[in-house]
Amino acid sequence: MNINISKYVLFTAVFFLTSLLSCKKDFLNKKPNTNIVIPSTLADMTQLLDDTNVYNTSLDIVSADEYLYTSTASVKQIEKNAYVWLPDIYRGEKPISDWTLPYNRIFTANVVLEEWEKLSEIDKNSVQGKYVKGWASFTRAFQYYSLVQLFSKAYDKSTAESDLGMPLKLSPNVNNIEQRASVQKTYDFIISELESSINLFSNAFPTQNRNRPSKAAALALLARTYLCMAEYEKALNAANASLSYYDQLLDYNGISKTASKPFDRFNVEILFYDQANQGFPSIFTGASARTIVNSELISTYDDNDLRKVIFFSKSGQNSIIKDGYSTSALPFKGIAVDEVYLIKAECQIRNNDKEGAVSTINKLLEKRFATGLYTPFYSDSPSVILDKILTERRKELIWRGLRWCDLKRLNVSGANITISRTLDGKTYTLAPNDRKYVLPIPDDEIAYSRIQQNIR
Amino acid sequence: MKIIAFNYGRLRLWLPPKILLIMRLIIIIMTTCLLQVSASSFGQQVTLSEKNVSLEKIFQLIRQQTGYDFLYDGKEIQSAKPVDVNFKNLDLRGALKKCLEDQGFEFEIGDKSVVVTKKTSSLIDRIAGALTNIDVRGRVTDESGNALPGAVIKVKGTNRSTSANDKGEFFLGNVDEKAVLIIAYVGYETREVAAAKDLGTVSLKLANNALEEVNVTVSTGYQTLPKERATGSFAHVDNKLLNRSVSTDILSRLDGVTSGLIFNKDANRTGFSKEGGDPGISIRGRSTLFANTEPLIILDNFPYDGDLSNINPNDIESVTVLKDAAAASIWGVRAGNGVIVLTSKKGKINQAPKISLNSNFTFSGKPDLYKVPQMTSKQYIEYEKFLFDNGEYDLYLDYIPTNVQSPVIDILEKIRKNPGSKDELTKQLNALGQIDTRDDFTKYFLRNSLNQQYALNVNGGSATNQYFISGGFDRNLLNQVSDSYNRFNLSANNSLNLLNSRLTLDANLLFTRSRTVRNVAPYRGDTYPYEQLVDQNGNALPVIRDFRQASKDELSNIGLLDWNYYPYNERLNNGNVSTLIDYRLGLHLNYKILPEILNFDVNYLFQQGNSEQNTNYDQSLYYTRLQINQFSNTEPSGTINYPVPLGSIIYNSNNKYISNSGRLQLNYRQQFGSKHEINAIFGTEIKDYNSNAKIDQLYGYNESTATSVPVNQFIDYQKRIGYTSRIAVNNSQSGTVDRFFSYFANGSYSFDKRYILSASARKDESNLFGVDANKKGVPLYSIGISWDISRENFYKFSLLPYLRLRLTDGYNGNLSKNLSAYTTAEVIAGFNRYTSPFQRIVNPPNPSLSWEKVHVYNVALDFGFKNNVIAGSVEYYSKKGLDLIGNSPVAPQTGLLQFTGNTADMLTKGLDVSLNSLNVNRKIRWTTNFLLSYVTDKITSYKLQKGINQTIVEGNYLNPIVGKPYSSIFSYKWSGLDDKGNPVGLLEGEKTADYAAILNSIDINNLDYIGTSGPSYFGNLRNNFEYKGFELSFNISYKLGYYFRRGSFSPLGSGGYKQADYNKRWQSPGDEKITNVPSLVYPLDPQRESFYNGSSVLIEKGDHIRLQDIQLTYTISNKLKNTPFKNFKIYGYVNNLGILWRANKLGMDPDYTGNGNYSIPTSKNWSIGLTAGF
Repeated sequence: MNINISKYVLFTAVFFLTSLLSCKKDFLNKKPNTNIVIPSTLADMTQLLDDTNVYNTSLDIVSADEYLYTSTASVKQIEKNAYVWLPDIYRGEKPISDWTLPYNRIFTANVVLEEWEKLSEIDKNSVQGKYVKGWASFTRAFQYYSLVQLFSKAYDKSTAESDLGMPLKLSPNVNNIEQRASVQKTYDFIISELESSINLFSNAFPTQNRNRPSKAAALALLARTYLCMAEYEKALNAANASLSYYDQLLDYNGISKTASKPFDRFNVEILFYDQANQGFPSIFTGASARTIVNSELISTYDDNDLRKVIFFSKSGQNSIIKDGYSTSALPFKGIAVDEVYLIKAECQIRNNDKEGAVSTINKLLEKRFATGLYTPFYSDSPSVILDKILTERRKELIWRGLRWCDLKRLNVSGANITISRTLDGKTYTLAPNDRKYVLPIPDDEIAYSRIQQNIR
Repeated sequence: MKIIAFNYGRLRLWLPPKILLIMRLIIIIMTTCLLQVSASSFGQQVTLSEKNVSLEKIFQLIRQQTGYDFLYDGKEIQSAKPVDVNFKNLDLRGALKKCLEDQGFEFEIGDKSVVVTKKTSSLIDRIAGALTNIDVRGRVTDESGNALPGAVIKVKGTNRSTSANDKGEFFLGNVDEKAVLIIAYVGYETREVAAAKDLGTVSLKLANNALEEVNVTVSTGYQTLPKERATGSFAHVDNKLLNRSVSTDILSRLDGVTSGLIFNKDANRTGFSKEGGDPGISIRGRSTLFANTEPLIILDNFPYDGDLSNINPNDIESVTVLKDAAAASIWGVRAGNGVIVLTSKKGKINQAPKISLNSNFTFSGKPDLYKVPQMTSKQYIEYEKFLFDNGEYDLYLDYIPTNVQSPVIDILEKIRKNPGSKDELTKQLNALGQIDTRDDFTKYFLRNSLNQQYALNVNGGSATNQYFISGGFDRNLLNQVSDSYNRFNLSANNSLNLLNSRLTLDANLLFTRSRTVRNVAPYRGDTYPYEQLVDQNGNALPVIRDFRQASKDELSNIGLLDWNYYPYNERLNNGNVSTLIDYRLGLHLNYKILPEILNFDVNYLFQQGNSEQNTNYDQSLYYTRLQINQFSNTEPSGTINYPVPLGSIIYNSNNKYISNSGRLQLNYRQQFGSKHEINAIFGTEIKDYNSNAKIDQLYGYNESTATSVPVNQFIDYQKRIGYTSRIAVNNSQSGTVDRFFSYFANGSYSFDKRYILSASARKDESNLFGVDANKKGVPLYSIGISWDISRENFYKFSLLPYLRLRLTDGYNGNLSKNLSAYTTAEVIAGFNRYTSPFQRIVNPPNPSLSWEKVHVYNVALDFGFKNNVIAGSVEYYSKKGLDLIGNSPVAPQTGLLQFTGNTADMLTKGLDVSLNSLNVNRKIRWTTNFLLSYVTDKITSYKLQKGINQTIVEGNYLNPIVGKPYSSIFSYKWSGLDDKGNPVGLLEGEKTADYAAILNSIDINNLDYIGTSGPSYFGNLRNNFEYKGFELSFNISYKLGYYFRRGSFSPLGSGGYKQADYNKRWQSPGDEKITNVPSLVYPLDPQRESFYNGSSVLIEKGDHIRLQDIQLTYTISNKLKNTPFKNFKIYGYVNNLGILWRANKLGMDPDYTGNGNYSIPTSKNWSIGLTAGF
């Protein structure tokens, strides 16, 4: 009908659209929120790894024999179940932060590693570039170490190839689901990640950012890993190497005996800072403490041992744990120099270096006793020395979750430690090498990835 | 048969001759085709004797007598003058000649048909016509003789018209002396008069249009259209209805007068965030889970980006609510929750300046704090003593002696340490038991509120412009002493018609400035019920806060500031002031490319808002004194250092936004013949919205010099009381950018006003998702049809003269700003443990992310009975929310627990009924408006079945259950109290008091599903009575078919004493037969609490009927002749009158009870006001 109208319409429409379309693409590429970052630079990656609020595991402390309940009124069901090592501790509850948080950090590290590959060669080879890559590798090693302690059997050379380890998730892709690798593979991965980060790290130590790993921290974790594998020679080498880069101990004589938070967050002993997650209030420290310290353990501290008053406070007859190296209600789960000394001492005696072991343990304990009141330990008997070292290890590293893997590894090597607990009038015992030393994998993981469950 | 010939008459004015020629040729060919078969004679005889009948009627009569059909242009024939005919037995040609003589029509007689066409007048005819034409003069007035400037005078059947000047006078030259003039004025009945040289005064009667919504035009923000031409679901609230209630803001005026719209009361809302939370207003229920829930608010052409409380209701002419897809899909991805379009007032062409004034006062009493149930002070002391005796506080008393303890615990501890003082201290306890803090709070902290509102506007226009200028001032003195809200509005718009009215240029400006002072925290009752705030002599008393009084007292003599908190002294401090400034500038240009057919709009809008909140914590305030004291330290020499310096602490937060919007739009409208009409718009739109938020905190501020002192925020200071800590310095800055680029089109075709077909489509792209994801975006569209059944020939039902069916179907969209298609991380505010900034991944990559879609069907029936005794509409709708943002679980080894994507669906269905009836229409006029809405929703797909039953009971809205409504209330099965007063539940059909097992069960069958917490049925019944100048109306609202959870006895709950049923608790065996309130046990068992508070026994029916408001107005119309007023009205209004009926037997008001909490009911509001026009 009316051709001229159509012309008008067409002309105007074309004019409309072309005038605006030209610059549209750039217009819509604007970031919607200044707080939102598409992580792509080394600075972004550093900030992703710097998130100190995604915490480490807690169930290792919950399951070990360091505390007792006085009342279970406000205790969560899972804690109670884990306290007495029931076969099914979660009873369908999910998510379980001891599983999800480590994997969340692995995810972040995987994102960083994937983005890192997209950097320019100059960035990759820069000091910060190498450090960031090493940091991401260290993060994966540290988290897989924590996971394997809880959800797999203790390392036993004879069965490690067939024992079920962790699903090794190495990419951030949400759609890739991994089945469980063997324990051997899991430990091999941890070691290779640590070795790669040790090669990437410089010798510098980040005294102001103790959440950031260093060569000393990576070597310390390597020592801890080898200790778990009963590779004492390698553990000793790693511990010595770690101490060669950083070996400062804190003298407890300078620490307040009355303060409710005795330690400082810049505490010189911290090699690598981490703390337990808040899923399980049983293990809270300080003012939030809900449980009492195992009195049998308390009795092992000498009266001149400053740790007795710095670590604990009295509530009537009972002792309550104060805030430790984490300086918060959540226990310290990182690595500190005292642990490296203890690893070193243990490996020395296991390699029959009696003098070395005695000297190492004395070096540590001197810093723990009131000045002038420490009588240096001496013994000629390897078993007495080992006993002393293991006892000191338990006393020094209390509430750090290390007791649980010690129980596991020592029982594998025949220590034959049975622990028992009483709840609601019923007594439960955990025999050496019991299947219940391996926690069940959370139900949601089983449901969505169909990985193999642990049999308890 | 009735054939309408193709009409080309309208085109004649605007089309070039070539097209006309083509068209005329077509007509001629058509006509000759018809003529070719005409061979027979037309011997039939015609006899007619009719007076003043239409040509159409004549044709009908001739057809009856001869059997000839008539072909003509209906519009032309209808506009012809009526004729008088009187002849006998004429042949057809003669009869037609007689009838069409003087009418300017030609005819051709064909085979059994007659083609009637308009005579093309020759030059001579025209000259002859001009000689017989006359010039018409006259004056238009209302019934009392007042001029009606701007009244429109139109020559019937032509496009010629003029309007009356400010004296009501008009002139029309060169009018056919037989012409009929149509005289119209908005709000008055239209009259038709025969043309004459001097018409004298034509007076118009006031239109009686209160009931029938005459000429309702609805606005979509893109176009305005008459309601009868719309297929979609629109609710229109006119100015009279908007002004029925009195309020400072505009939106609350829609409450109770708009169908399908519900105002969600705070007590029953499931959250207040824009994303996911229940919005303040819902249109037709909910169709999203976790994305944006708020309706889109449009002011005139564009979304209003500022704070809605900025809008002065006196500047708003009307409101249109767009409810279904056909109405709202033009707004695309933002229309999913419905759209509310506010249309502002405008000036009028050819109108002398009109001034109108509106002023009112609203009073309300002090809030009744005693309406929220709580324990008496005596009972609370008894309860504290129970806990104390059981050792609840021992850990703190021994271990952290500085920890704050209530005055009662302090006294009890003193008695325990020194039993000798027991008698005296018991007296103190008894004295505390007599105190109720609410008494002092009501007396000294509350007052009656008074809101004042003044609005003045001037509007008018000449032939080429129209303007509207208004100023508004609101001054609200709020209930808390010294709290106030002031608002100043200025708005102006001016519209110019240029280039012979082909170009219209509009400019408008809206300016708002408001100032809010908030000093007094409302009474929350989160401390102790027995605090005395003022002594007998009117002096302020200290209350216990933060630390144990003894530890404060110990430090009182070391030279620091006073450690005590005196609420009474701080109640008048003016430290917390928010000011808000908002501008909105709009430019609109419309150019008529082809007048009446094609025009295009260019719209541009700039809006900027700046709100600043300044909190000045003066050194005299407790907050500041405490900070200064806590961080201070004393050197051995005795010198006191103040790391937090003396002086004020200032906290400034500044929020700013700037938005720019532009739109190009082409509007097309054309009639083809008299029955076909096409309307279409299409265009493109762009929007850029930037916001910035900034927070600054300054210490040691000195107001007179505007200087501050830096603090060291990185040192751990040992506080005077308590732990080490750093000085918090909150400085932050963040910004957001929203950008949209959209295309849209909307069109309708209507046939004979009987059938209307409409369609609309829109595509949005935005920066929120990233460009890749957008490319996959599907355009959102709708179609609609409307059928006016009563216009059909077969429709003979005279009792129901208006009946119309509408059907629409289409998609609206919705969005969540929290998601992105890319891997994104967020910079977390604050620092990590070692004071480094850090980020966290908030969003794993999701390349398939898309908009949420809401598929909306709407079926509606509009009807009107004879004389409009009852008129109204019934609408049924269903809204399917598709691809809703939902969570689906993933294996935790991925590092994520759940993946958020387009995974959920839900279905919402409902019915909106709106009825208006005219019950009595004599001297007294009584009308009734009835609104009924029914809405129900159901989650149809949700992949994440999260957690234990406790999470479903305590937060179902976060854990949607497939097959159940979004706001389901689930509760633990209840089987009474046992003989020790312990609550007993049911698990797998067995009675049990294993609360942990009940709470942790994952079998949903162990829960009772009760219903929804949102009303299924709601609406209003409004009756209006008019008698002479008086008008009285009252509005009854009702909400039915829902439930709420009441609070009861919960020793662990916040604000320990804020509980209802303490004295109904089980106290001794046997009580279980008369009460359901559990006993008080020690140790307190949180799981027992959770079970009882989530159990079925505490669920009540929410159904209730409320007398919402009453309005009375008196309009003086007759006695104004010798006054400057043109109109004058006084009105009174009372709001929040109270409940008439409720289903619960406990006397609870479900609008203020829900989720286990009680809130203080809004007091009655009393308003009086006047409006006057000059």
